[in-house]
Amino acid sequence: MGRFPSRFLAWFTAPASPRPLGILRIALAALCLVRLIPLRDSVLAIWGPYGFVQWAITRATVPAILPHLGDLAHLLSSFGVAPNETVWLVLGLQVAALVGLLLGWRSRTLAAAAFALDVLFLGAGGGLVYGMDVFVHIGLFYLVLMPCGDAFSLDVRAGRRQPSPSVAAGVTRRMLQIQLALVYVSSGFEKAAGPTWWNGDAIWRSTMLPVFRQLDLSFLAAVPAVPIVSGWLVLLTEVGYGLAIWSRRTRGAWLAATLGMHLFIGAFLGMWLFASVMILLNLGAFGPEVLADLADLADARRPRALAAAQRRRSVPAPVLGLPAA
Amino acid sequence: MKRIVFGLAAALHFFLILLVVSHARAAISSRPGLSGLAAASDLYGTLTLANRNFGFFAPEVTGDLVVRGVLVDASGARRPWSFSPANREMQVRLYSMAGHFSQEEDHMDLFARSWAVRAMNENPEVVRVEISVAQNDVPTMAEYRKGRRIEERPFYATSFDLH
Repeated sequence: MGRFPSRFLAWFTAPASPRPLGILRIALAALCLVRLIPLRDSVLAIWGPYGFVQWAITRATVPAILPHLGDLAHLLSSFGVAPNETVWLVLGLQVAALVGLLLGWRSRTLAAAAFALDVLFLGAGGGLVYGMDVFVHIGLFYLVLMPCGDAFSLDVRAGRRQPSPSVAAGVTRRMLQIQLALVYVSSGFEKAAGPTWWNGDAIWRSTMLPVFRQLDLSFLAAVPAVPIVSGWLVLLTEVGYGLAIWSRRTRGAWLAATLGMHLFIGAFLGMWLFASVMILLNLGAFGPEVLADLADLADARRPRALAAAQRRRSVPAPVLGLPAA
Repeated sequence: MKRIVFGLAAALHFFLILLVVSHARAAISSRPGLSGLAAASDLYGTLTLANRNFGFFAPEVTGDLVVRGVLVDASGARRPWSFSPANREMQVRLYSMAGHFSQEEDHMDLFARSWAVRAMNENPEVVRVEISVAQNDVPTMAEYRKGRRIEERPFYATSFDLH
């Protein structure tokens, strides 16, 4: 095997701690539960048979081989369960699976259950699905692959799982890292293909659209340099993510810039749930490396700081009236 | 052996992602010999959402759509109807729905019919629903400085009768 493939394999399959995956599992399950709170009065409007987009339409958008909530409702109707009741039943199962996942009880099984039930909701939700749902679903997909119950879980407490480093923990987190890099790079190139992210119009429009408008930022029209430079920064952050996130020298700054971009989306476009899931996935994927980089940096500075302190200690304190030697 | 299987699965996973984000998926769908690969990519995308186009707000930010309805009862009385989102989260989802509605002309009638049925279910006395969709046209920064403001432009209109 050549040098690059063998180095790549060693990097890709290096054993890693399951602790970041345990934290990701808890945070993602919590977010999945939190996202249901603002939707509690709109459950049937989103996923019901006669919601904003009816099952007759959403069924046609799902491949025949995949199940749809309507199929399940049809099956349960022979037991006297009404379609609306099927929606609530599946939602109840989803909540139970997410609570179990959060606690780390039979983590992989419940991650698979939460993922499968989410497939039903994505299909029935049809047009009302947006980026937040997409990334929550991708997150659940990775939790199914990850040994996410190997840390901070009831599975560990019960002795079913061992909180020790594993190849699976390393490989699956690498997969999440590569997935995020592909997401940002492709998103950056898609944006760069048009003129609006270069001339500031995209930033201007997104802050002015009535649906996203949180604050009156119309003053930006008088200072076009701000939206223009902001658009360039978004392009740089997204396209550059593919390279900069892998280097120890740049990944801390790039992760900070990416998190900043999502905080901007939360604050100025009011899309806090979308911002939260992106921040969570980024921290789950690259947070441990950045923390390790920061710890290394602190260690590297410590000898210099110690030496400086020793130098200070070696200088006798000035005695009143007598200058130090 | 286990490592090889996982390695191959991971390679296939990223191959399917690259197929979509590089736009190669669109190119292979027209080639008869590769239609199976395109179908597998679509199925994997629907199931996992991992391989899809991630171009949010790209290449441009389009104007949001405003959906309105007019309900007409048997006596001919008319009153306005709208989605009335319960909160910010539903507002974002309805924006997304309007975006899906506008993607293809074939979708528009289906979505509008769905909204009309919902309006009729909520208001059983209604015999006719008129749906109109307008798009917010946001001026450029230069136009804004000259005094132009956001304007609604008609985008789509239809009506449905109970009988």
